[in-house]
Amino acid sequence: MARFEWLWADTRAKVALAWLVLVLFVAATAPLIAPNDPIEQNLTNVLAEPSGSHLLGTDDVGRDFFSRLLHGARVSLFGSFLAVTVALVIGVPVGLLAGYLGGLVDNVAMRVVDSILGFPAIVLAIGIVAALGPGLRNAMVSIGVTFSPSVARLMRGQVLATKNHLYVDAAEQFGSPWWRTIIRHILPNAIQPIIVQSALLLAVAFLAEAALSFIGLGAQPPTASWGAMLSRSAQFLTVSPSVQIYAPGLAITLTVLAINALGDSLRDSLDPVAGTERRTRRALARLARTERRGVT
Amino acid sequence: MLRLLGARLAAVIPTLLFATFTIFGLQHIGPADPATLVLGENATEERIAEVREQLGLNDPLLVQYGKWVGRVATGDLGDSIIRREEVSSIIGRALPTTAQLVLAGVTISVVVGIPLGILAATRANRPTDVAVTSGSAVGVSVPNFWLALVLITAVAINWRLVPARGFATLGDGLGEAFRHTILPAFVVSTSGIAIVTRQVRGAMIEALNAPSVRTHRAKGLSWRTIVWKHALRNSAVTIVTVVGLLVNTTLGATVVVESVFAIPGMGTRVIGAASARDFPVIQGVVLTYVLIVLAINLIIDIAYRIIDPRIS
Amino acid sequence: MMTGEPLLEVRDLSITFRTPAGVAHAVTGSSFTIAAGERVGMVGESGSGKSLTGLSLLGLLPAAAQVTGEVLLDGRNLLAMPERELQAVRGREVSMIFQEPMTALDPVFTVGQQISATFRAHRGVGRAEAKQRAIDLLEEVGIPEPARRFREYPHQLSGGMRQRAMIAMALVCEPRLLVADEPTTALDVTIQAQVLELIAQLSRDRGTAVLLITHDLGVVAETCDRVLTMYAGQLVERCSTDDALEFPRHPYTSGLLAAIPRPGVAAEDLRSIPGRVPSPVDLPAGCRFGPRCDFHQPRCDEPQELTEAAPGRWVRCCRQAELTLPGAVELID
Repeated sequence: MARFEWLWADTRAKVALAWLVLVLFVAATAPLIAPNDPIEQNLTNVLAEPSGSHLLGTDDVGRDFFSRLLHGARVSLFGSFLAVTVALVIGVPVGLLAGYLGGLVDNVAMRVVDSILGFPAIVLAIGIVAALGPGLRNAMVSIGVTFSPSVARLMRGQVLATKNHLYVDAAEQFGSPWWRTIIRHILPNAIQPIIVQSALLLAVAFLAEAALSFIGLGAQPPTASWGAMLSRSAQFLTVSPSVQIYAPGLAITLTVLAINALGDSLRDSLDPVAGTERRTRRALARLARTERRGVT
Repeated sequence: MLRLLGARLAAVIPTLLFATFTIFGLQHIGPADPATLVLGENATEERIAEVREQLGLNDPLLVQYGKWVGRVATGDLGDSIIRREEVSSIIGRALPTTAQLVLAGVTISVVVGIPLGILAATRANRPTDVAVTSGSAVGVSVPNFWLALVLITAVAINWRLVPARGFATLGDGLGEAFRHTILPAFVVSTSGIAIVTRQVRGAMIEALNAPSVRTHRAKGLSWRTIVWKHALRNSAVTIVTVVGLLVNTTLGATVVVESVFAIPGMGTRVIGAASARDFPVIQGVVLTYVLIVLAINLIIDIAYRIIDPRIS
Repeated sequence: MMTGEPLLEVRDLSITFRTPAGVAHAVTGSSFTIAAGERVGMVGESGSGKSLTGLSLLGLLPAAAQVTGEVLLDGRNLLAMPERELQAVRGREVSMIFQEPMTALDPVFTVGQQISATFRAHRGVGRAEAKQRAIDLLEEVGIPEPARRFREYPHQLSGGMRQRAMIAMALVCEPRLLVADEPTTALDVTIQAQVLELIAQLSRDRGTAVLLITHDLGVVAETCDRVLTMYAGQLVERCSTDDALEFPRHPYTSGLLAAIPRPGVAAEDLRSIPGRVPSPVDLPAGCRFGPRCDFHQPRCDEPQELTEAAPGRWVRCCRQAELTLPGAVELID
């Protein structure tokens, strides 16, 4: 468990983790803990203000907003995990092969990676969704595709860094097949940076899911996702209870903030050099600061 | 400098080839047949066959791609399927709007982000720095379309300071353009401000810890001169890199934010086109974005050489 | 040996830092003077407190440092001076050059900009005048084609040229004291001698006093009038260069002499002093050099005072009168 010491050493990470555990819990148990059916309409009670029976009021077709918020956690999380999975499934093998084989394969792969990184991600994703058809799954696959080049590039860098190590050479000398060399020797060394990168991509994916659902290309009605809920509230901006504007947005912000914070501490803890550098830099900064005390 | 430009342009070609191929290929990766998209679901078999022939869909993919690139190179982006209008004229109308928004957003990011970054760096790990750093963490985590909604509610609807919807370009008068631009520009700049602040802070802390700072102090230069002249100049490469990145980020941010403010720019167009599967418009917009990003990268690449004497 | 008021007087200077491991005594009770135009060498291994002492002469100590004592320039205490006044002293009255000219110079400004910036900051002259002054100085420090070098960046100069440019920058305002912290350590051996000669010559021509900080007594021998030997934060010997070289009275000075590279002796045959400089948080209670000293006796475990062994000759060793230590001459024979 020593590995996870970082979690307890860092207050920010602790708070972030607590929030994420809550969101995960809600996502897992939404059908059990939600007070109402998230898609059951009640046209006689629309856009109601918060009350005892509807904690956050009702939306434009009379659905319980609080229940939809709880179910939304589920959809939003599923979407962002899907996107990151797709990015890994494409990016890791491409980066591995490009780095390991080198030469023409590497050249071509990196050109492709550069080209895709030249697109503003959301625009390319919109283009791909248009081709595949709107919907949460397609939207998040598209996002995953646009993320994959950054994973491939990172992976390739890791492979190049470990490829020339003695043990890789030795393994090849002793006739270990290339795929075993990759799995036994190269992959384990690359796994930590990939985990950190995945955490940071998860945050971006979460925002992207919200954005695509907001513009109607992601989660489709009547599915509740936080972005899609904001989209409905936006259409009734002046008449919606204001809490319905704030709650989903705040939920998104806090979750993304928490994922980012956790990703940052994860990076610092997995990369002792970067962590030390950061501490050294802090110490230096402190010294520089005290050095000019009294400076006008 | 000209030779450098030539070399850089040559290096862009493979990127451009693949990017255009991706853009061209968009309509072929989906389950729907492009001819059906043009004609609608109810078209007859013969009519579809006819249109397939017309659109050259029976040619091998690479031949189709070659023909498409040939047309695009002459500025012919085809016609919009739903609007019966040339894509180039749609983009011609939308681009100035988006350009104005992006320019304003990037400007705000830089003008706010650089001083904030410097402030944080000169007070590293003190309360000011912690506040600025936390603020920038929030800045990259807030969904911009939600921020747009909140600000529209407060600034436009409740306080009636600026219009809630629509847009005005510089052609409509400076005051009008400003009133319509300021709120959406601020919204698209939030993540930019956060990114600039973070990067400038890091670069400045490094620059202020460089041994040459001690030399400057030994020469009797004031701390203010060292921070604002020497350290900032040493951070210039980082700043230019970030500005390049910003254009890409801000372009992305405008897509959704435009739709919240009902601004008739490229973003609103591409979203509309995506829902309607109007591929010529999607391709036109995406291509325009890619060209802008590539052009910016080229400019940044050359700017490096001007800024840092060590890069030759 | 000096007449009148010294240019600079350091009185009982002590510098300490609080560290997690305890209080670090970087400099303890250091006192010395530098007369106008005099060249003084300060020698010792790294960690002896030389560089901090040098920085204190410009009021450039980190504020994390806790400082007692006085650094008097014309009777004004630099350690108590407000930052704004210090800025007027730095670069104009006291200048400093550093060990590694590549990192000490700002990489993104031309050599000329960096030299003229100092001149303009202190003299308030215009751009053109500052430029002319900078070019003149570049020429004076022996840089060929000074007008062209003026427009070049540090990375375009060779190591020796960079250090010459640093010297030009330090001297642009005709300071009365130049602190040179290991100015030749990063340079090739052949260049080292040239740069040292340049510093000595400029000092003679302009009457600029020099504090030359180095770990190499050989460097001091060629350049300086007097020597201050530092060990573990303390001055252990203070005397003329000739005395130090011929009849060192402190075993540490003698040990440093044995370590000077010289013709006819292979590098591996040079006698280096065994052991290491003690940690500044854990110093011996008695003679700080005691644990490494060949002549150590029980009475050396008492704190040692700096005492006047002969006129103008101060040594921090209780056995100095009874020891006959090898000097440079014996070592060569």
